[in-house]
Amino acid sequence: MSTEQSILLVEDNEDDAELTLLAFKAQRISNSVVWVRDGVEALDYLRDCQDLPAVVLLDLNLPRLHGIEVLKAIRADERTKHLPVVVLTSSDEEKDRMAAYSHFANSYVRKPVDYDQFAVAARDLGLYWLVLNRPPPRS
Amino acid sequence: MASRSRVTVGIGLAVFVVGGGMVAIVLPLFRVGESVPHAFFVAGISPHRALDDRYRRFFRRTADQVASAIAKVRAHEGEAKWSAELERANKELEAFSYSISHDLRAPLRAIDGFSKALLSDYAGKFDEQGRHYLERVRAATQRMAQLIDDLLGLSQITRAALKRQRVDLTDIARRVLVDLGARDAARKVATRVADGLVVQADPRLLSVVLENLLGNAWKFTSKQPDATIEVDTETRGDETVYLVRDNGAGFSMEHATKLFAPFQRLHAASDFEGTGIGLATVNRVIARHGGRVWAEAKPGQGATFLFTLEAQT
Repeated sequence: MSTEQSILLVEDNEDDAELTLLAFKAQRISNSVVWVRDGVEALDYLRDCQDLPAVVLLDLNLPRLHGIEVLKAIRADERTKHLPVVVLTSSDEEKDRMAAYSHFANSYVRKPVDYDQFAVAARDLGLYWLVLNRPPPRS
Repeated sequence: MASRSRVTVGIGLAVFVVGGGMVAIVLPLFRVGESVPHAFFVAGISPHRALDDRYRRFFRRTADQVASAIAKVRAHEGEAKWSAELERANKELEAFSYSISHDLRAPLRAIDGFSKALLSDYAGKFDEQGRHYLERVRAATQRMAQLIDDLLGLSQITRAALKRQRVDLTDIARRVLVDLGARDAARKVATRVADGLVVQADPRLLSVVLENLLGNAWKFTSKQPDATIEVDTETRGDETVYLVRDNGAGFSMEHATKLFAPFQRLHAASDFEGTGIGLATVNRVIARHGGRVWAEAKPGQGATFLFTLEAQT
């Protein structure tokens, strides 16, 4: 139950990223949040980081490398294949949900437009993935 | 498509080309209604034989066969092209909906979120009027988000494949009414659903119809102390008609034709909330089943929505 573990936020929309950070702050989630703006940056970060994040919050419509491709790459890499990945997106399209689960996303959350609901979602995600959920053992 | 691309033979315009003792007959082939030939039938003819009626008929028949063979190929090409175009249009519509869902929602979230941030982090800098304006911004954002979701729902219903099977309308209606009651436990509504309403239709789409019609009946009876909602069937002429009847607010029949167009509302949002997409959705589903939907109502005396599920014979 490490509280030092970080959260990797993969989000190209600056507004959404700032709102997510704001929501974490408002919900007193103090873990550091690493924010990267596209799929390539996300994979670079995961390859080079010392400690893997507790959870990856992954948008789907990303520049350079689509979220599903990022997910595939995470699952294909021995080091990250068990890393919890939560797809956090505006889309509620069936094909996106299907693609996410087909490539073993741990969860799929649609970003609510209502900020109050968004803040609740951010709090629940933080509580669940940082506190309640037990991560895979480090190899 | 096939009938328009039928090819006919312009025998009257036969042209003879003579050169070096050889004779050919050239027959232009026209599509019906076109003045420019789209093909020519060319045949060598025997210079030793008189071009009598019998010989002419022979050419005419041969040219006709060539023409109908061409017509068949063209019609087939036309159909293939048509279905390819349809598929492309559907793909585009899908991409368009996707873009609406994803790209239009993101700025709304920003408007709502930063308004909220102003309200909570800078509360002291706004007076009551200022806070009221920010609340109005947030309320409008929510409304637009709802509109986007409803429009997406409508477009999904247009695109979804229609699968007809046995559907128990009685069962669906009772389930929908139980859900409505559970969400609004304070209300007392008398409901009656006729037994054994079984139809051949798409179960998912018919659920959408009943959710909308019963949801409307529930909403528009909210100011009625003795609210009643009925689901029933009637035979009118030789048609089986299904109906949802309530004793709610009703409306004037002079507006009835507008009801089924998207975003048309007959009540102020302050009286009854809604986006005006529900009946447009119902209309779309019923039309896809080949049926019709219409309403009968009077202001203050409730409304009845009726629909059929088969094309009229």
